[in-house]
Amino acid sequence: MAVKRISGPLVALAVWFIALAWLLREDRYQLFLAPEFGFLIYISLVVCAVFCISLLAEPPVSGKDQLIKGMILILPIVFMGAAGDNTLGSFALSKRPVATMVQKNSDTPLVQDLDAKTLSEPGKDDIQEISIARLVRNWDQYNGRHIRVEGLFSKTIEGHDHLAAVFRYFITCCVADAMPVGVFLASPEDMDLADNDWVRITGRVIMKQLDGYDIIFMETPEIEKTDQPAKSAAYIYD
Amino acid sequence: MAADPVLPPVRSKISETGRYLQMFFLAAAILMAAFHARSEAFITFSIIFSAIVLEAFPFMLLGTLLGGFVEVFLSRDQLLRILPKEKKQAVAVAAFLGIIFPVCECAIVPVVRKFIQKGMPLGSAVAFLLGGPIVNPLVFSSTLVAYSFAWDVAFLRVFAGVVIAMGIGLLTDACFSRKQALLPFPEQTACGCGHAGCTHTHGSSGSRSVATKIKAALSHGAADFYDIGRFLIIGAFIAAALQTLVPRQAFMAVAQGPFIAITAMMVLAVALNLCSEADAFIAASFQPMGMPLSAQMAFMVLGPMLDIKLILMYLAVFTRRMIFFLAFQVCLSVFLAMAFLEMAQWL
Repeated sequence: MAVKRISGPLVALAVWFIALAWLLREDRYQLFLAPEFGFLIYISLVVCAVFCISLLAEPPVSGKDQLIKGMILILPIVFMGAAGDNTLGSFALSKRPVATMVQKNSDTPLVQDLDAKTLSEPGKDDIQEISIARLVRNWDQYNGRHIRVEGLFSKTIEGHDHLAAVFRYFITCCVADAMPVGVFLASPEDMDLADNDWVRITGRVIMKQLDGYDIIFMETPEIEKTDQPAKSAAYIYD
Repeated sequence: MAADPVLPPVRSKISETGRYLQMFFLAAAILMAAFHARSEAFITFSIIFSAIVLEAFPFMLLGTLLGGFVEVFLSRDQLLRILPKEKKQAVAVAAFLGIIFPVCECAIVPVVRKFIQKGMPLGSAVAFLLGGPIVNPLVFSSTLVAYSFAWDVAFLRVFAGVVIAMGIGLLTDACFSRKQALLPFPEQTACGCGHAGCTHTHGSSGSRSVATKIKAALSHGAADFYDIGRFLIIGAFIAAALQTLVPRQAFMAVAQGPFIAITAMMVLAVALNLCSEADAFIAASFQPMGMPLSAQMAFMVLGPMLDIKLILMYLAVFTRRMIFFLAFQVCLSVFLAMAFLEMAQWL
């Protein structure tokens, strides 16, 4: 019995259709794109469906070239599966400068020149629990204040082993434009913390300089481990 | 006159070298997934690769869909009527066509491919290709937002983009014939349906039903997507690898003087492959680090004209000689324009 040949373009588009539907389920696409760009997935889904329907009536196309084209087209779906429920973490942080969203101020001292006298105990009564997004957007309000923020933990910073960071990523369109924002702190020595653990830190925040860039630094922080708030909590959608 | 036959579009063949390169790429990608699946670097790569593809994918689909409709519903005469007859004026008008066809750089390649097949003059096609994603109103708006409504920055981006697009369009007309610049379109010899500058047209005959034409447009769109979609994927793959492995701080470290900063930001624009609708936010993020405006502008003007995925997508339209010419001219023009901007600021 002759086996009917299957069209390569039809298969590739059908696989993409299924993958896009999977991304829309439980808003999984938000691990890659900002929520307001969900419509892009719907557009892709509709156009894929329309193309699939149009190809149903076409004679099947096959051959070595078609196979290569098709396999390359569906390759990203394999990597989407490999990414699982993960988000960008401390590895990506090591390749990107941390943004503070404040203008450079050359009068601030270097982190390496920290004066012990400037460190103080947090004032327990006026600690404000805020988001990292709020901290960096309204830095003037929190400069020198005691705050509590939550984020991913990175044990060290590239080139600065004595510094740790609690951070998240600002996303404009997709994860490829992720910009880390967060708070630096002296590396805690006796804590059982690993990279990408979720932590809540409490302490006084000040502006310092590191390699010529402004950074938000938390003095003598209290650190506690927490659960991941949500699947895509590492991302702050702008 | 007899009705035009509706024949399926023909898919282009991959050259022998191209086939081996693509097979090598596939094998490398699969081996990488097999051996590094658990490392954080691989997961980071997978996330960035998927994100770039997912962001560009709908625009690529829409671009090929639009290309299919252009193919079937827009006749050569109708297309040429949009542009002035005089070559220089046609180039100038084409550089602004992105306002009417607001497509980003991923979607514009299949649209330009169709326009060229329909007979758009080469220089005008290049001006549209380079200027379209910058004059796009959405890109203009995103630049405004990223720079806190600094209108001068948004207009400067459009101005620089349009001037460079026009300049290179005119230069292309002067230096290249269509035969030297464009790949032979396979439909010309095998399809016979007129979808690529063959003897008959779809739009003007009016002899077939709208439903048949829509079906033909969709078939063409799907075939185009299948044909050139792989270039987007390979480009996104390389860009994701660079984003994963190369620290951005390294660019900042070398970008000490303004002219080196312009060069560094141009390299970054080519490497990151960001969508023209998002790149202004990344450019603006370099502001607090003391990156000069000329370097930020170089990033925003070059990115929509030339990056890794675009170079690969140009392979579906232009000859290698033409791609080399385009890449060289775009880089040189952007550098010179931004160096001029930098010096103007000194004065």
